[in-house]
Amino acid sequence: MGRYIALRILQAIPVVLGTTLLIYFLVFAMPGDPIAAMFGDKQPPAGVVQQIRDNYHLNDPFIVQYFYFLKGVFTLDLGNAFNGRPIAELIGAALPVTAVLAGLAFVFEILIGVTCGIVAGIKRRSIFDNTVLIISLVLISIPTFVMGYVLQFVLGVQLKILPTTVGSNVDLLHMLMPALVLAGVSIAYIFRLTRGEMAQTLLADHVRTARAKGLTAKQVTLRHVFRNSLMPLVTYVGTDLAALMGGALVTETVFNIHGIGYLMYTNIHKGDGTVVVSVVAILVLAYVVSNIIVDCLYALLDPRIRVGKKVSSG
Amino acid sequence: MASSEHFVAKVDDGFEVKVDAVDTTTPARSSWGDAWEYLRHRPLFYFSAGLLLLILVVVLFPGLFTGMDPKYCDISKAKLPTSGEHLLGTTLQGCDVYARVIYGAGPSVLIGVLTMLISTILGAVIGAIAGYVGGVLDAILSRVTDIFFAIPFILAAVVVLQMMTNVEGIVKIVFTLSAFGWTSSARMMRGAVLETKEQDFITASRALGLSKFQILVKHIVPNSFAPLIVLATTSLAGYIVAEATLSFLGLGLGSDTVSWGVDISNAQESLVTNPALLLFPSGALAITVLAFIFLGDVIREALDPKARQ
Amino acid sequence: MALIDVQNLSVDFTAGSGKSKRVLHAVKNISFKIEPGERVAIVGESGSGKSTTAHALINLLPGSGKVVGGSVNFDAKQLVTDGHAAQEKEFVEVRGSGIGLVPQDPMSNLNPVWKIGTQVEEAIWANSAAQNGKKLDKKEAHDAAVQALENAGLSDAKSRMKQYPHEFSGGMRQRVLIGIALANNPKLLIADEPTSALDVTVQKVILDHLDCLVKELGTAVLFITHDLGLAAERAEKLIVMYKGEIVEAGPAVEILKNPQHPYTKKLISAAPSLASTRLESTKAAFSGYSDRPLPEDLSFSHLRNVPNFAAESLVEVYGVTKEFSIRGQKEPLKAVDNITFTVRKGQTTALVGESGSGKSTVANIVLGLLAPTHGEVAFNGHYLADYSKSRATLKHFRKMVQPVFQNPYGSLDPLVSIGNSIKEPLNLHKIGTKKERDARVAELLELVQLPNALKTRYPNELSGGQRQRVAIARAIALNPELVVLDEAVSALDVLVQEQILTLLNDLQKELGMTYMFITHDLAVVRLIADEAVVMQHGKIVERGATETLFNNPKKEYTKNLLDAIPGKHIL
Repeated sequence: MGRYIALRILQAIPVVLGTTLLIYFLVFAMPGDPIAAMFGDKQPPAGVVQQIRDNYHLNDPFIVQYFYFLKGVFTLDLGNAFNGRPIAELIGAALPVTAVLAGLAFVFEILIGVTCGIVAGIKRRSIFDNTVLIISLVLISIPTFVMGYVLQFVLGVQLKILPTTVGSNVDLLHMLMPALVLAGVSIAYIFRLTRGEMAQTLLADHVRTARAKGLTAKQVTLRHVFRNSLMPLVTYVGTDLAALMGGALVTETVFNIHGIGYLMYTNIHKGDGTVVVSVVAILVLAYVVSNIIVDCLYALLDPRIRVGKKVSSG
Repeated sequence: MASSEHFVAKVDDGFEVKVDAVDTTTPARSSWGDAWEYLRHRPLFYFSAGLLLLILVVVLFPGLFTGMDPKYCDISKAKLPTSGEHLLGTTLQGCDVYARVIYGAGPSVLIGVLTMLISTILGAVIGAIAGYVGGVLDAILSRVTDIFFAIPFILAAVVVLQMMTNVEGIVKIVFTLSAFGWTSSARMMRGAVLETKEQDFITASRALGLSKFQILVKHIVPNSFAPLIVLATTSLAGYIVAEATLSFLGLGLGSDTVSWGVDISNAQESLVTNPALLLFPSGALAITVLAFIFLGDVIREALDPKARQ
Repeated sequence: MALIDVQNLSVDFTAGSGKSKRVLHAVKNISFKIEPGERVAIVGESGSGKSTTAHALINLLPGSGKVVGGSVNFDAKQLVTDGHAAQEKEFVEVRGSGIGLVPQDPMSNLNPVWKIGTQVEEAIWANSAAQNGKKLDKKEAHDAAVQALENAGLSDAKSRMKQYPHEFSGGMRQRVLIGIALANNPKLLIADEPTSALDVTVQKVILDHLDCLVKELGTAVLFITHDLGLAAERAEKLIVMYKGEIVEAGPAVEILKNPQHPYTKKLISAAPSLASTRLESTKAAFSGYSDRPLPEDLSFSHLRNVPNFAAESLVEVYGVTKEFSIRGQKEPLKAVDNITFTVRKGQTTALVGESGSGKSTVANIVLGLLAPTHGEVAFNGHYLADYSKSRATLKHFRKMVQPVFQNPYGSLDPLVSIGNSIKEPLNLHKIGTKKERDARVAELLELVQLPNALKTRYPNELSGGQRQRVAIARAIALNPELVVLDEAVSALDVLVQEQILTLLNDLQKELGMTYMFITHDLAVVRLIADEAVVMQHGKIVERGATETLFNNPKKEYTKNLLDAIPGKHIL
């Protein structure tokens, strides 16, 4: 198993390098002068420009700049934003907010998505199954920000059950609605995945054998059907945690949450590439790390992985 | 019957053991024909296909549905409620909402279809090469796919769009979405090709003397394509949503364009006072997306008998 | 009183709904009894309803299957009454403790994510409350599980409890499944094709062990099998099913020696395990093998002549070794280890071996799809390696050597019509005009006894046997010298198997082809092969004329293989 994990970490290295390089390239190799953007319409004095260029290594070749940046990521010294504050500090303030939002959304998608999926998977073609199936499709069809506005309007403005925006009130009550909105599409996907896996596993030979042993339907469902459906679920849920943090861009904008997505959004409009690249790098790292955690979990769940064998279905 | 008894069933007149008799009475049907036969009996298929047909007509001939000019706005007629003249009322600038919803379909659907075509073809080619050739090339292509996959889709699009300030309009959005949208189809195509490659009929084709390229084009690609069709349909829906999301973030089409995304974005400001302005373009968008999602779902069941039960 | 009494049992499957609803009567009105300790076998082909019957008894019918008529009484409990199955609760009580099930495929019937021990213990605690009225503690369940595995003949059971299914071979897994089925000492054991997925020698050992166990415990057994020989060898009573009905039932030996129903007669005459001679062909023999003009090879200057290539040989294999490197292992795997043999013109040479013997690797080497690590293969007087040196000679070689594979569902492109599949080789090698090719397709379909109307159809509409006939038609389209049949009939039902073997035999007589027949089934070898090569672990154990090999095997391994053919000792 150690070998397997080591291999996965090794495979993740080119992904981290590749993604950060790609984003760095997109932000800094594109036309447009970051310093001009920094000062807007004003004309900065030449000495200041030179100092900034030195600070940001803008006179070095592109690839050297990239490695300075990479060094920064791993030493947590990301330099300063255009407004003078250290980027690490900005991210440090925003990250916990997004983590609360994404974490809460994550809990929602597991609780609602998996539970509905199990019930629907066992009782396929029942009224419950058909209803939830249609709801899930509708959920997938509505863009997150529309869902956000609709809930804001209905629950916040009309019914006044929940607060409409978050602002500086980062508590569970204020985060409830944004988290639900953020989780919306994922709930639908997790429901469909769980349902499909359950239905598929129910047909497996070993499930019939388990019943032939004399186990009750409930025992078979929990010990065999659900247990075996868990593995593809873990894969999806794991990668989704990172996707939630990325999706927070929209939700945080709708609900005025000062998280990492908001930080990125405002700095894109300011043209502060260093902040943008740093945020994306953090998100990619989160994705890669959660992928590695998923792989470890997977190895725990599927004994066939532990000896490095290829997994076949069943 | 007792245990030691020798029982023989009555043999009917004309009883004959027909070994592996061929039944040619039923009409011939390919596996695509089989899928079609399944679709034919699904109401959901007709519902979604009919809806998409209607949307297509709206996109191609918006003039059939409204005589109004969506760009003609009369500030004196701003914020009107629903009436005979303005079916869905007017916007803050006094434009007809109904006309804007009808004409707004074009850019959304066009962006969805173009992005779907480009990203699916790009992904299919990369995936097919990686799966078929294998070895070092597969390792490189797979890592490249991983890299593009690891960056959250919307974030990537936001970054690229922000940087591409000198390119305008639909082309910019299609390019951006395609650049990061191809990874799923590449992964799926690679998996399907790897699976098809192991089949006996591929080995049989090799033994017949078909070249590697002939095998890829004649046998592997056609047999690996089915799952991609489903992905293409649902991803099309995803691209329409993505375009709207980018417009919402102020990075999509210019505000002078008539599109659902732009209108939804503009409606944000008056959410509390005039929620209908948000509702109609979003509703139109959601219905279009739903039609594609439904279609993808029913096609998936048709192509994969296992999904039917 | 009978242990289980089945009266007029009927089972239906339904597909579709509303107007397009179709009902399949899988089991029609069947009755039989099993006495305590008695061994009964239901014999039939796929689609006969034999497995459905077994599953109906424990209410584990797959999919839309439903009992629609009759009654089942087991051990004074009414499981099915007037076509209505009892409550699930009653079946939960009976399963495991009353009726045990040994399923068909050991590879898919153990849950891959649980330890072997957990899966056996589960069977024990699931039934302990019902049997002893109290729940077992952990230690007791563990000990009982070890005991169950030991009884099933699994060596070193205690440490094996901690292992996972993927660490076990097929035979070991089947022992685990037998252990699970017998763990609660049920009164009836249903064994559903318990060994058909295993190698013959393993099959025999496991069935022998099962025999001893049930005799000792006094368990009644219901075997479900397609193999008449196996059924007669392992059961006192046979029930022959055909299309959902019982056509004949009675004492095993009596039925085998004196079958009454035409279906039973046909089944017995087709069973390869009961056959004793090679198939005879009614077709006129191809005139003179040695005269058959082989395509002229001399124009290809880089084809060296093989010294001492015998005139009657088509293929000669000299000291061929094939190694595969395995990731993470230093030593390569020797799939084929220094083998030498000859395939004679116009004859059938069989390559026999169990899984892992390297026989399919040899097939791929002879087909020119794999290059040997060491050694040479010569075809028709030239080195095979030389043929691959240019595209023209390789194409020429491909025309002369064609394969037919095992899996009828994988050997045809599902998106290509039957006609186009058969035409593909003609198109590729540019043979004849378009009209002539169409005529050739019609001719080939007739040769494999399929109607011409089939050419516009697709593989998904055909049965396994029919697909295999199409694959044969495609393989012989170019008039090859050699056809390599890689387990070509192994996946087929007995009667269909016999039909295909007869067809192959007739085609050989008519067209003068040479066959290399790869199989794990020694019984089939006797029906079709002139010479046989027995392989084990990549090496040749013994080779010679089929008759000699069968009547006078020299090596212990060959004797074991022959001995393992089920039903051999009955007649």
